[in-house]
Amino acid sequence: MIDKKLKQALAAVQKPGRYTGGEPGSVYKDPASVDCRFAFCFPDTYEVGMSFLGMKVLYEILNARQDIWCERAFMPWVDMIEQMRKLQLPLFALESKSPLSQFDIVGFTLQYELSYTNILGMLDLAGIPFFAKDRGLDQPLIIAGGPCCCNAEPVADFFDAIQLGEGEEQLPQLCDVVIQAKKEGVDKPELLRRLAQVKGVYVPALYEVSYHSDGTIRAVTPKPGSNAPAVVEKAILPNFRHTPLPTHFTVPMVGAVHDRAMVEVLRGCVRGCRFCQAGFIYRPMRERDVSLLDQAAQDLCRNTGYEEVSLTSLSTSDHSQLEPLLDKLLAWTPKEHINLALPSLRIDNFSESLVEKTTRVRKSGLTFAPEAGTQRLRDVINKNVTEDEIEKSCKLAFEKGYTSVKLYFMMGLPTETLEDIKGIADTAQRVVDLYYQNPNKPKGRGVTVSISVACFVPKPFTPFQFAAQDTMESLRQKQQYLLSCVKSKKISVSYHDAQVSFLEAVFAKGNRKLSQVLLKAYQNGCLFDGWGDQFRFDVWEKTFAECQVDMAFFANRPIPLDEVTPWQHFDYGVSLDFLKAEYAKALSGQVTFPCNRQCSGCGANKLMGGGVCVAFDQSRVL
Amino acid sequence: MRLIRVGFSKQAEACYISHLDLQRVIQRALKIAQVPVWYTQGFNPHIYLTFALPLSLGQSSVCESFDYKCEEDAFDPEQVKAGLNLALPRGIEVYRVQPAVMDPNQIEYARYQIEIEGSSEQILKQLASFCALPEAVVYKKTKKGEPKPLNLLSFVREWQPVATERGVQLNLVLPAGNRLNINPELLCEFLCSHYDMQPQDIQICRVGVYNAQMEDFV
Repeated sequence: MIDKKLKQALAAVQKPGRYTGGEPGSVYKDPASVDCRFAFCFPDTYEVGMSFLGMKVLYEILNARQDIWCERAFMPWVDMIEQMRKLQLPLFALESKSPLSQFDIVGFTLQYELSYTNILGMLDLAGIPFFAKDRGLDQPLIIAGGPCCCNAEPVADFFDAIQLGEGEEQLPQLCDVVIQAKKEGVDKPELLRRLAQVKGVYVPALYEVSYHSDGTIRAVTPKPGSNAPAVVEKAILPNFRHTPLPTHFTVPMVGAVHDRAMVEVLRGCVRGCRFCQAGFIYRPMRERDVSLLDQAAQDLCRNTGYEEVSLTSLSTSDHSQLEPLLDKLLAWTPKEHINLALPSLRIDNFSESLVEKTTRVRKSGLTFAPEAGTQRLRDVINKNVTEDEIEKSCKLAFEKGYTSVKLYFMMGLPTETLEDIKGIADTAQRVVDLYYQNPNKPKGRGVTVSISVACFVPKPFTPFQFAAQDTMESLRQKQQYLLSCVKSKKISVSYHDAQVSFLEAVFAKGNRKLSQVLLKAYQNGCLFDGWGDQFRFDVWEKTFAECQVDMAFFANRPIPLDEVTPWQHFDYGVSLDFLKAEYAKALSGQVTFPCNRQCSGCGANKLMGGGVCVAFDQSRVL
Repeated sequence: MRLIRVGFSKQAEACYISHLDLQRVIQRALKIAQVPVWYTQGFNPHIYLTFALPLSLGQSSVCESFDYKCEEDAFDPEQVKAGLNLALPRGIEVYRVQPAVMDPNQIEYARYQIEIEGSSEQILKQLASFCALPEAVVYKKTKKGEPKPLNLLSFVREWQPVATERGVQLNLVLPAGNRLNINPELLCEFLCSHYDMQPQDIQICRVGVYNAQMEDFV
């Protein structure tokens, strides 16, 4: 199992347990007894990847099939990469220790633009050719899924197939096509043509991209004879409400970032915050059945031994049956020493009974995300939170004994002025003042208000996809201005690196020309770009210059409403007309109601067969 | 309240579970196996769990143990053993569950089997020349972090090298426990730096833990 080379490498690296596998919940099969070996790759470290719920969902679904063995692989940390190169140890999957090159399918999840170089790093360590066109059937099929696939063009040349939308049913279908093709012995072009027929599967090689002379896209069209759809519509679960949840996590032994039981209480979000990609690409919002959730949480805790269960989603308090769910959970969690965590609460419906229910076992800090410092700007971004609601929630939290509050903001939002930046500091100051106005505050304990300010990154499939990102210079000035506005020592400020956000915007809105840049950057030494200590912006700048590609063209240029975007041939349900209308409303400061109050006709109901949208009426399940 | 001692082995991939991580792994296994355990009664209740003699990362062992507490009437050793073995990761296997007899402070020695791969003849020669040294000084980090010189040869209580098919198996007894613990890693490092041996050719396995009278720690 652990051969000599691996042993030698393990002796020389930090936290070798990240590379040995063997965690409780790992699935082992006889490779000779399966028709399809699938390597699920997370292009970041083990600790980050093992926190990812999507991997657990798909691992369980694929391994439930007798004819498929799904294993895991992660990006080794730099010390391990060095050892693997030195010892000529190819990248392997944790369960079997087989090199990735021996798998039928190697699937990457695209969670974050700045992990793209790690994909190349993993392919390189595995000895697999980077470009899809250079790989024959003797190499694994390299595929991708996850949110960043909604603009997969910057990485399109590396992948044989890209999955748009929800993978629970789509991925097994894709595996079936591969298994069948293997049995029939068809060639790769035929396999690709067949894959393009799977719902939501985009096969980049089957499309032609043409450009205008100014570098913008003229059209993306299926190649003649490919039979590929002109527009690829994302896959969606027909009955999320009753879709089973994973109950057998692979439990990491080396501490993961989020090491706890997770149940996904709802998918999508009704809010429609105009900057938020997740809020649009996962539409329509669907809730899971409360009894199913309660049973899954019990099974999961009993199978894993976890002492914390997290109710995961984009906005957990929007579940219409949250309180009944908490009552069910609280009937058994305290006596089993299990703590409940609600990671994504909203300020506007943070109720007293909710606080009581979640703090019964252990008290932790509170986090709210007002996102913008003034009401005007919050209306622009459609973050429907008022000053009053922020104050009410914080007051309540302080009365319940909380002494630290974290507030998330963004800067660089469309229409933003210095007034809005000052508003961030003012909001935090008001929260500090509220604490000292509370007559029952704990004696001798001060309050900490941490404000964390991210740089706005315009993302595809949001109303702000048309907007330009603020320049790095402007963002840095705003950061300095914010610091000058903060007067209290009770307020701590942290903000994101503008260079990181800039690169993120370039890849978020990039086109196919970036594949070459990405490879060059990797060859120039870029890796782990999402890690502050590894990020090398100077190398990126140099590489873009070498490739004669202008970064600002993608990040800092507003997209005219009639321009063809690199993601125009994808359909996530939300219509382009809706995005345009929302952008216009944003610029005039008009808000849009959440889906469960009033349907705004975004188009996502089409995905579920049309009619009244499930996000408006949760009883509508097909 | 009873103190229950669980004996287990730690091999293969499980050698790379650090001591800190092992505590979490055991705690979760106890929970999965639904072993009736006593929780500490403090502000943040957790399962009471202690380990007698931490094992270095990368070494294997067939004689590890941890202790937990339970109520007098809630103890079924066979059930605990079976339940834990279903819940524990590959490489960790419980072989004994019984009420603790000795205090971990009584631990004085441990026995190790060190497998050295290579030519038996050459390795035996190298080990013999090691034993013939006037002294073999290594530096052990003290609790204050300063390296302290130690003559390894003066601590070796038993030393039996035997030729095997793949090289040599060295049977070794060294001081262990709270008072003085000599990690066999120190010996291996010394051998690798003074003789033609490679760390990846050496595997250390702890095979016995004893009190001052060389009785098994139970």
